[in-house]
Amino acid sequence: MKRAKFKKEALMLLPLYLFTLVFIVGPLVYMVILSFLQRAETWGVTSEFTLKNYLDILEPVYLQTFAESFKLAIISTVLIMLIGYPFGYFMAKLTAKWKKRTMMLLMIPFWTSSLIRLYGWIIIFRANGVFDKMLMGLGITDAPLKLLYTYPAVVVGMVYALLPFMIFSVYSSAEKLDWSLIEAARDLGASRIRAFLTVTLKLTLPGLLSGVILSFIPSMGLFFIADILGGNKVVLVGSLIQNQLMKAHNWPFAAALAVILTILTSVMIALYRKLSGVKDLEGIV
Amino acid sequence: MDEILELRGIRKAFGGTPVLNGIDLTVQPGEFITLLGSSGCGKTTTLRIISGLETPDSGTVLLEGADVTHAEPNKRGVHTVFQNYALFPHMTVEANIGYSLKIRGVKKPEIKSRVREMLELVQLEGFEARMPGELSGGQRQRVAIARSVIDSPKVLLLDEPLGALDLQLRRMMQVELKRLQKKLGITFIYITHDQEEAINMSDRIAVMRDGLFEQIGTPNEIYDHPKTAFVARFVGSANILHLGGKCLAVRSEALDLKRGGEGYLTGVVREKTFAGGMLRITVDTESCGELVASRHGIDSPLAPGDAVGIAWADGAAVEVEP
Repeated sequence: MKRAKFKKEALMLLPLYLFTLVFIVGPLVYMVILSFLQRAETWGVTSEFTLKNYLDILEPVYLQTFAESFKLAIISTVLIMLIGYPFGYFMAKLTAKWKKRTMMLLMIPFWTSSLIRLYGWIIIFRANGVFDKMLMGLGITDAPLKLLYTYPAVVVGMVYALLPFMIFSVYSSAEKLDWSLIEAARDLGASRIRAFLTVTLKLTLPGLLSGVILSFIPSMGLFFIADILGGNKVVLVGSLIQNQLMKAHNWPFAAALAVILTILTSVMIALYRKLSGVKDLEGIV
Repeated sequence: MDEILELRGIRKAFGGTPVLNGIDLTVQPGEFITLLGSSGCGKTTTLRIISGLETPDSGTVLLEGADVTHAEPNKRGVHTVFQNYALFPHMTVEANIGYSLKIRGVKKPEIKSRVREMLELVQLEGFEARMPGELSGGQRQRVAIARSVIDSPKVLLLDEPLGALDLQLRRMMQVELKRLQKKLGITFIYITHDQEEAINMSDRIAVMRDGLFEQIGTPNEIYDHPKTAFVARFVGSANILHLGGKCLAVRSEALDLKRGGEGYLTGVVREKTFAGGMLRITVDTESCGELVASRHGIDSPLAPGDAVGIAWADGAAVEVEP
């Protein structure tokens, strides 16, 4: 009886397992295998085992790319945290009506392709674009800043693209917060700041950490933001992989880069979870 | 001038709806005073104004003679036991109870030993490492109380702290709370809508209605000499009779029913119900509407439809303001 039920349930889960196997585990395994193979003379790969791809990554120029990606990811994530945490927190304090409206405003941009929205930033940032004209119009600067194809432009693009994820995960944590706990802390002698640090922040930490992971990992790989807003001045691991794959047709090397990137981000997540002591990350893992 | 707390003309409205309409109250040190009233009468708002979680629109809050009307809640030395206990779910019992000491920078070993004392006081020895989620309602309640009294506040505010407990536990906790209050000598301001609880525990009761105190007095004064019809009804579930231009309160147990007999009033028995260990007989009268008489035992020779005369002993009727 029980066994039969178990069988039935397993059967119902089968499509899910199949999907995971075919579309997630499969490609991952393929990627790992690929990374140990050699590039063929003209097209594709030869089935010869090698470690060359991994050794190539140790070349300074590629290590530099990894370092750059990390730096950009950290800068973007910190900014996203600084803007997104207060935003999500105060959003949770709004009345139901305004919560809905704010949510709507945050969702609307997702109806447009992110690529198209990025082109919007080009119009804003290019020399004598919207941003420059505004600053000059206000008399803050007297020459165009020419922000497009600079590092700050890429940072702005990253923050813009990933901020909603931070806001949503902080919001979902803060939404569940029992505000009487903060009153209790104040009542027991805690200043506003102390109450925030000991109660609010601690209880919204899972949301904040999910937000950090949701912004940190993609910002390592969102190559098109760096490409579109940074020109070829800012090269990230993501762009490197894409270039190796699509332009240099060096699949094994691209695969090796991707494997390393995957390992690095997994280690980051593991470390983060360990350090923060948060086991249950809001929404993910 | 040795009152520990004084409220003067406190008014508060939320979004144009008045909640408190100018209340005055003086509380003596070590007193157990209960604010008694039905929900929405403004008792929780009064508490929140005393604790500083709410600021009155007008009026003054004096703590030990000092004006604290606009002082931050953390600067008052007043603690609250919240209705839902508001224990910090991410902290152990020990961290919860020691919170106020930690905030004040008390050294760890001292916090530890004082928490242990507190746990002993509320009979939860050995619970230091538990999380609030692992405790029963009654245990959480004790932790909340221990957390609020560990640094000996000037005044402890309790917002229906027993509301979520079952009847048996509630009776037990009433006794225990009273014992605790006597032992600690802390002034308690207690909120409830349960007149039994108020009578059992309080030195004085302030009966609240529509944002005003209807009567403030000892349980005896309130019970035996209700000032108004509302107090008589709310505290003693008395019958209110309008006789000879006077408004009288007569308790249900004092009403004497005689079949076909004479009395101050006459009426017809409508129904009999057994509730709360008493038989309640509802009588319709022509001049005073519905009256309730109560008796010990589970039945009475009176039957619905019987015409009765209604009388009471001299002194059983108290004249009250309508």
